[in-house]
Order: sequence, then C-alpha cells, then structure tokens
Amino acid sequence: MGRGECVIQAPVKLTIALLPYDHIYEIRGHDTDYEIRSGAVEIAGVSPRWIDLATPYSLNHFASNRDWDISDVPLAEYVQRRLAGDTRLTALPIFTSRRFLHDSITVRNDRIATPADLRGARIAVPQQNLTESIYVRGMLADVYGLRAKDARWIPSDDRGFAALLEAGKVDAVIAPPYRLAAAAGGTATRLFPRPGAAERAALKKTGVFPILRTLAIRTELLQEHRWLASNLYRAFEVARRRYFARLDDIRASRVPIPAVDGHMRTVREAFGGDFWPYGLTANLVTLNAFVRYASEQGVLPSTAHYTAGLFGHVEEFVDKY
Amino acid sequence: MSNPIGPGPASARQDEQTVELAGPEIEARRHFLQDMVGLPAAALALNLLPTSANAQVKGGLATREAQARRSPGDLRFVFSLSSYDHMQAVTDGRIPIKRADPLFIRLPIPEAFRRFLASRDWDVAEVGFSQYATLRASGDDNYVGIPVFTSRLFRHSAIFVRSDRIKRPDDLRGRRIGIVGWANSAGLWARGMLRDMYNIQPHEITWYQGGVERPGRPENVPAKFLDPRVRVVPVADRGIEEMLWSGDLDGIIVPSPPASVEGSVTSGGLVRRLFDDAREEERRYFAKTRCLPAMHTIVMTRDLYERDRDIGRRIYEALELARRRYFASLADTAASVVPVPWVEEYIDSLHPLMGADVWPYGVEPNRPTIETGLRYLHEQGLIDRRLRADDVYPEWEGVNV
Repeated sequence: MGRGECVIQAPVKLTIALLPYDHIYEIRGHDTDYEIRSGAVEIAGVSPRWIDLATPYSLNHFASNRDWDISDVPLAEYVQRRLAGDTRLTALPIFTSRRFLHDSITVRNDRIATPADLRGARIAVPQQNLTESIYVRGMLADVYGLRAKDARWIPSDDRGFAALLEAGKVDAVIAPPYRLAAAAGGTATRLFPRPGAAERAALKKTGVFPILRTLAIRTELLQEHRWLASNLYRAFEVARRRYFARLDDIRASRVPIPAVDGHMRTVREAFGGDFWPYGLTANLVTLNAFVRYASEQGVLPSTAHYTAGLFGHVEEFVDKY
Repeated sequence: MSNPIGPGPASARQDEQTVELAGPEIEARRHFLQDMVGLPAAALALNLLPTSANAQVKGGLATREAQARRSPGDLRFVFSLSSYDHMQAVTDGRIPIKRADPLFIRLPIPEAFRRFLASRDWDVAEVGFSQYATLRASGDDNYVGIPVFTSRLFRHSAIFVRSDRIKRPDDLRGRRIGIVGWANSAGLWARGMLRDMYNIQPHEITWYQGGVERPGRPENVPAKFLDPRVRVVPVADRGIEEMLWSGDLDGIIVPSPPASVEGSVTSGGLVRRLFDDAREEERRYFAKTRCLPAMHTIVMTRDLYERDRDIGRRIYEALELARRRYFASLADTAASVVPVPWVEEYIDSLHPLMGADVWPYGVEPNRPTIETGLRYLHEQGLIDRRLRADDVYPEWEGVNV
C-alpha cells in the first residue's frame, strides 16, 4: 500500500446550513478565540461543510431539496409535520433562535391602548401558522386572559397586514416586525413600545422563553450513524458555552456593548440562571406551553400533547468543554 | 433567478461551490433589511447585512470576493488582532480593507502587545491604549495610532478585597493593595476612578507589585514621573494572590482574577469585589467623566504609514462597517443571531446617558475618554505632562472618515 492511502474510514461529510448565529461561531471555526480555546469545536466523526444562510428557511425547503443535511427549522412547522407523520427530518433539542415577542403586536392606537382592549377586537394573524404568532396568542391567553373565542382572528399574508390595519379593517396585527412589509405609521403603533418589562413579567408568570427554531437533521442520517445526534449536541453545547463565556470575559470586551456583563447579570436574574439552555429537560416548560398553545388555537389536534418522541434522543450531559 | 442583493453565481469548483438561493424568502429579507433596519442601498451594496447576502460555502464566496478585489498594487501588511464580534467581519474577509492585502494573526493579548512594541516585527497591531499614549508622550514616533478602540471596560470590577477589612471604597485608605504592574491598564483606570469618584489618592495606599499566581513578574514600564509620596513595593518571592489570602494584602487590582478569587467571589467567600454590583457605580462614573475606558486600540508602524498615508483611514472604514453590521444584527427580528435577550432595550437605556452611539470610533467622540486616560497617565506619573487627544493622534487631524 502506498503512502497516503488509508484503511481508516473518513469522517462523515455533512452539509450544515445555518444563519451566522454568534452562538455557533466557535464550531464554524473561522474566527476563534485563541485564549479561550485552542482549536475550533469539533463535531466528532463529522467533516462539516458550512453554508451561511442569508435568511431563515422553511422546513419545506430543507425537506424537499438536497442542498444540505442539517439546518434549523421553524418549531411550528416541524411539530405540525411530525405529528402528521412526516418523519423525513428529526429535530434535536438545540435551539438556535429564541426571542421574546411582545414587539410582534401592532395595533391601531385610536382603538387599542392596553392588552385588555383586544377583547372583542379583530386581529389579523399570518395565514400559515407562524411559530411567533402561536406564542404571542398563547401569551395573550396566559398572561392577559384573551382566549381564542374572545377575538376575531383574520388570516392575512405579509403584504396584507399594513393595508388591513390602515384601512381599519382590523384593530391589531400579530406578526413579528420582519413580517410587516412596511413599518406602519400614523395610527399604527406597537402595543408594547418598550416591551422588556412586560416580557419579564410574562416570563415570571409562564416560564416561557419562546423557541422559534430548532436544529434538524435528515432522519436517515441519524439511523445510519447512531452516534451522530449526541456528537452534534455536544459540539453545539460547547460552542454555546464558549459564546457566553466570551460575554463574561473581563480581560477584553468581546462585543461592542458597554458593560455587557451588567446586562447579562440582569438577564440571569430575570431567568434565575442559564437563560439559553439546550436539551429537552431544561426546556420542557416552553415546549409544553407551545404544544398547548397550538392545540388551543386549533393548529394541532386538541389531543396533541408534548411527547419526548418529537425530538431525537441526545445525551444531554456534556462532560468537559 | 439572480440574487437581488449580492454578487452573482460563482465558479462551480467543488471546494468553492456557492449555493445560489433565491425566492420569496430572500426577497422578503431584503425588504425587511431596508425597511426595518433602515440600511441604505449603499450599505447593502457593501454587503453590510446582518447576514451574508448569498448562501456561502465556508471559504467560498467571501474569500473569492476578497481575492477578486485584490490587485498587485494592494498594500500587503500583517495585522495582529484579538477576537472581537465587532471585528469578525473584517478578520474573516467578509468586509475587505480597501486596496489592502492584510494577513490577520492572533496571539494571546499581553504577548502580542509586548512583542509588537518591542520588535515591530509586523505592521498593524492591537495594543494597550495607555502603552501607546505613553510611548507617544515620551517622543517615540515609531507608532501611528488609529482611533479605534477594540476593548473597552469599566474597571470597577477589577478591584478585589478582603471583605473582613474593606467594605466600602473609603476603607481602602492606608491599606495594602496588590497590582501586577503600575502601568497595567486595568490598574491605571481603577486608580483613576477611585480618585475621581472617591477622592482616594494613590499615595494613600501602599502598592505591592508582583505576579498574581507566579512570583517575580517584573515591572515592565517604569513610572518615571511618580509622585514621590506614592509607595510601590516590588515583590519578587511571592504571588499577590497568596499574599491576599495570607492577609499580607487587603486587596488586589487585577485585569482577570485568579481561580481562587473567582471562586470566592462566586460563592460569597472572604474575598469579594469592592463593588459587588457595579452597574450603578459605572453609570455614575460615566455621567461624571463621559468615559467608557479604552483598554486597547489599534496602531501601525510609522514605516507602514509612510508607505501609504491613507491606509489608516481605510482600516478605520472597514472596522467601522463591521461595527455597524454588528449593531444591525442586534435589530434582526427574523432570528436571534445574537443570543442575548433584551439587548436592544439595554442599549436604548444607555442612550440618555451615553448618546446615540454607545461605542464610537474616532478622536472627537472619544475625546473625554482619551483625555481622561491621558490625565490618569500624568496624575499617576507615567507621562511628564498633560496631553490632549490631538497630541497622540496628530496624524489623524484632517482625516475624513
């Protein structure tokens, strides 16, 4: 056998397509912090090929094209498809995108001043059941007592929202800011112009920190390589911890946010600790709430309840990082 | 369908493949960026997006783009820079420095600073702001500063004390405090803060200078103009960490606490921070001084400056774009590219205190910070006279950025 020929197996070649999330940057490895770490975080057994996505993609794009093997998908779309028996993709409890969504309620300020005014109102919501709007409606129910039957819900598309609101055909729109084609002016304003306090109150009451996107992988790959799910989990978990260690780094400021350590302290105080955990165990409250919201809103069958089978199994205890 | 934002499709070589994505998602994204983030068309053309415009294979488009722009006349230089989220777009090639062909190198911070200033073995470097200013003040013109500040930190949290002896800043008077070096930036700014806010003068404390864990750290920069009343005692045979625990010191000022101190702070042990919760103190400090202390800045060698008098401006422009791109990514509501809840509202809460730009580059917006730093250097005997910002950035006068 000549030099350079190997009899060992090459690592599994997988294509990973994600937005350039800061919390995965350390796996990507093209800009790594010399002092915190000595090499990029490895996904053991995998030779990754990365695609920087410019924009979040739908689950459908992922499932029906062969462009990539691993990406993140919207939670609502994933849960719906999975419960409908579509098992082409399997999610892992690695949550790439989460945010509080009180900025996703835009109202006519001549009609709606407080959340209580939404009772009996006409509210436009996205035609497709958008993860964001499911959480927002659930929050309005849990925190402000606005049940599905307490308002009229008008399905619309992204382009229609501003027009409906301007023409007065609806009193409010529930859609995240990026979905509103143009920032509505005049009588249209955010219900929560500075949402932080209301979001902290909602967190305290419900324990929910909305999960918008979860990592997913082609199911056939998990079947072929049973070790893959936990190795991926481990790498993403290590990268996440390293990112948050960067924010706490007092030798040098790794982000251009004055006194970011003080803000991180405020955030941890609000959450009572780690606010961005991966894994099922630490996220059951949010995931259970999401499935309940979706069934209350008729998006999922009323018999749906959260089951661990929704996500691929991973070993959540990561030894060393 | 061609992509409306970014450059067109690239070569199909397997290792440099670009996956061309198009469709309603991209279109919606473009609208979002223009409408919600308010980025002007010019910025979009410069790829100033929260996320890259095209789907890119790692090592693919971004690299090729930079290569395509590169021409034989480009200025080649080596640039040492630590890891900053507000500069990553430059160091990984997504935002090019115009007419330049830089090689970025990363080294541990104190080592990189020390080596560059001792040897000038490369051309552009991140160094301590006070190191640069001290050299400039001493008449050493081998370095030309670029008024970009990579690392800025209030240093309230760098002061660790024995809680059995020191409960509040006033208790520091007459005490023994360990430091790693008189010229160390964290110590410089912490002492300046104690003087500005609590009128605690350097000569009211006895300073013990030495290594933190390992004994014998020498004083790198002599304080030539030190007030003779100030006592700095070199310690060669013990580490200041051990002296703190044994009770021979009452506190230490260190840029990064050793493990025993960090553990004690976390568990509420004997050694704590002087300011357990510095948030309010830091705001008061800023309100009084208008300072967001500048720890590190960028300098180039005079050789490089003489080869291309415009290169500083071009480096500045690239870093400024990267910084703006970072702030744009915070406003992205489509996905949490930066995983920090309430960060926008936090920055909003700083505007009344700090103005519209909370992390500015350039001489003018940073004049209070630069000149406070220069005042501390003078008050603490590291330079012989009060300097103005223009004295350390003379090459920057009239530069249009």
